[in-house]
Amino acid sequence: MIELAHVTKVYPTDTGEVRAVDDVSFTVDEGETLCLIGTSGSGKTTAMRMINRLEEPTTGTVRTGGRPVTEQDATMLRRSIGYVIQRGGLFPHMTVARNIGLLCELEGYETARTTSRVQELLDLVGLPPDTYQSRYPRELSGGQQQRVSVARALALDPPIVLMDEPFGALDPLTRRQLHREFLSLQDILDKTMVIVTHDMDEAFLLGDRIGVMDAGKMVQCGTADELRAAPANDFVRDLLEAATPEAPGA
Amino acid sequence: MRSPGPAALAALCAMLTAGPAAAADLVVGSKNFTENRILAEMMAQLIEAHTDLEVERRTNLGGTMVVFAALQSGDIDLYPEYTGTGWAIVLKRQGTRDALETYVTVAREYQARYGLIWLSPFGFENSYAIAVRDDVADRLSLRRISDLTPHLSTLRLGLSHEFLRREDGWPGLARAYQFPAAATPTGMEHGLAYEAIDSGRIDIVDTWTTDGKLARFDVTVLEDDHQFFPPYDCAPVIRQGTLAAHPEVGPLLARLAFKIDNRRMQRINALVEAEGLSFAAAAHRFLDEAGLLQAGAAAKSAPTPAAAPTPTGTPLAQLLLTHVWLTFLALLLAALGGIPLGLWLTRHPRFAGPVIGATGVIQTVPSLALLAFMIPIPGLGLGSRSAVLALFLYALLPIVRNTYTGVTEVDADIVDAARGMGLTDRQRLVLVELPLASRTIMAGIRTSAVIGIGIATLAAFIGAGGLGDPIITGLQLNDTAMVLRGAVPAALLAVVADVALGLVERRLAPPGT
Ligand SMILES: Nc1ncnc2c1ncn2[C@@H]1O[C@H](COP(=O)(O)OP(=O)(O)OP(=O)(O)O)[C@@H](O)[C@H]1O
Ligand SMILES: [Mg+2]
Repeated sequence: MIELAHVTKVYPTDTGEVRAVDDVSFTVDEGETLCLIGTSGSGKTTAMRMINRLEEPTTGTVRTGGRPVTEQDATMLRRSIGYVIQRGGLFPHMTVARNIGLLCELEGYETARTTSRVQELLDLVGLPPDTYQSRYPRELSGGQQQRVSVARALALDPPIVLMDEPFGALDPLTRRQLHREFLSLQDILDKTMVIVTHDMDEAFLLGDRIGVMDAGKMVQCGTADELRAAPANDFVRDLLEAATPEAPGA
Repeated sequence: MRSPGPAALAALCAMLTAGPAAAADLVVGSKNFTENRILAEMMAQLIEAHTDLEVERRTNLGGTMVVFAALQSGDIDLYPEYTGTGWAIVLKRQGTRDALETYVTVAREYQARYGLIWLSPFGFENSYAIAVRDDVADRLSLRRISDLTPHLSTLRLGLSHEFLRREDGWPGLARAYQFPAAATPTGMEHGLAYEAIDSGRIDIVDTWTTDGKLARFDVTVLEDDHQFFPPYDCAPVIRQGTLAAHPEVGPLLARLAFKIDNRRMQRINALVEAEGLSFAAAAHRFLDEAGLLQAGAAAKSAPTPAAAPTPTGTPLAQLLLTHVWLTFLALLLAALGGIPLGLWLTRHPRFAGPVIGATGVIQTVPSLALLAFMIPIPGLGLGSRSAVLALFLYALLPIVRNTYTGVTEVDADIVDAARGMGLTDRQRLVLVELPLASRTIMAGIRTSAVIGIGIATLAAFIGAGGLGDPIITGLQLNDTAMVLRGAVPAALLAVVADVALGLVERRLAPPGT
């Protein structure tokens, strides 16, 4: 369970302050998936990075499992939160297997256990281990790299997973396929997740609830039906209109 | 004086420097060092003042064999020479005689063999000498070279490379005076030796009796009581034909005979070397003061040093080993210090500009100056410690800079992913940033190595040895073969290091990148 309570993040810049996140509150329940959507620069990434303490809030409190994150050890906290960054961020000098298994290694898993975990995860994200485990990231397509990133985020079986536009850079066909696989994964894994997206269809498809952000504010947060029934303002209405009437693949 | 060269090279140089036959009545030549050039000016000005002859100057010729060849060929008519040089270099005589016998012998042989005439000496002797710092001389009552014998194990000797090597230098001196084997002189550049003796880092230097610096530093020249140093009385040497063609010239030059003693020559040399007068102005001042521009005169005095270059030479393997060792040690220290420093800067970036800037400033200090700075530092002094420290400082910049930039240039997404997945700062550094920066860091080490191998040749200036030894001595002795004996291995070493470290660099490069 994730809670943000009146969280504000202000960046000082040369031209003055930027309120990247402005008094945002939301909760993601155990096993629930929240999709954050909004225009570029609306504060989605910043809000998400405060959950695993890559950024510290200027004011307000972030909690996971009921405890303020600032009271938790940053390393331990981050290892309990899987994190997929936008462009994958795979380590180019490590094989696929080492990328995925690195945290297991650091957590002191025996080699055999790490190996079997890596194979399990590669199977899970649809990459046959024998073919892929000893490749380097640059020997993979963009979609394959994205899958490895997801697998790496799941290595320690964290209760929380954060994904920042995980399917953003992919072509529509690959993206659709990954969506389908992701949905079945979600069923198996039962994680608490926050997914950042630009795409309303994706938000409807993947999210139990959707949080709409604009200019650092959380404009509206609710299920697809709640949003459709009572859009909070024109911005939400515009977003809904841009979406395909009935999300495909749902 | 000091500067013969192999005959073939000399002939070539003579050809290059001789040029077309002069239109002048008389051509005065000189070697390429201060004293000789001043004396040539004196002779030229004296002749110009008292005759209508048109005098041409061809001074700054590169070494004894060059000037001698020019004199024989008639490209020049006269030049100032030293009896010891004529004895050893031109006549190739072994052993030494007293000053008079040396003079008589060279005069006779030159005339018989070459038709060249030694005129009366100027009166000074430019010979090797041993000088001690005044306070040491007073404390130990040192007046003569033989007084040194009981103190040699405690006194610090900083001797020029040439002196250390020449048979008529340290090796012969130590034998003639039966110095104990415990005496271990350090080789160093003569100019730096005075600084070192002045700052108290060494007690004894070799010098020559007309060195202008003797007047400026608080040192005492010890008497050569066993008369080991060969006599180097200086006198004009002139072509017989010139004397016949211009009979007034011989008596004119005789007016300079015995007019300049050692002290006087020291002061005249200092006019140029310390006070910045031109050769011509220094010569003119002397002639004027001595009243030689109006009438005639005569006096008496002694000679100058130069001698057979008998470089015994440290074995190449040992020079190479010293060179590699100096460079390697400095490089190792620079890597051990520079990589952590560069990494620390990535965590404290506000210091990066100033620190990298400071290491850059070090690089702009001329190598020889940096070496000289080390000498007064307690615990360093002459020798390999100073050399290693100087080389270390030079090696720092490429290593620190490449470490810093190598790490900071690691893709921000990769660093972000590493932080986000919960790597500690240390794990991120060791597992991600260092491997990805390793190629850049190694390139810095490689740059430092190649620079260091070059700069290490200068270490010989402060007595640290290495391949610079034959280079420096060769330059002083005008001996190209000896210069190459150091320069070629140094260049090869740099190439080998570059290639080898390039291979390491490629091997170190992380896979998959
Ligand atoms: N480190 C920072 N320093 C200053 N301003 C920042 C910083 N990080 C983000 N911002 C600003 O905060 C605002 C929110 O940025 P954020 O990255 O959270 O947006 P986003 O919603 O994720 O946008 P996108 O969809 O383009 O990824 C932007 O105006 C951005 O310029
Ligand atoms: Mg973003």
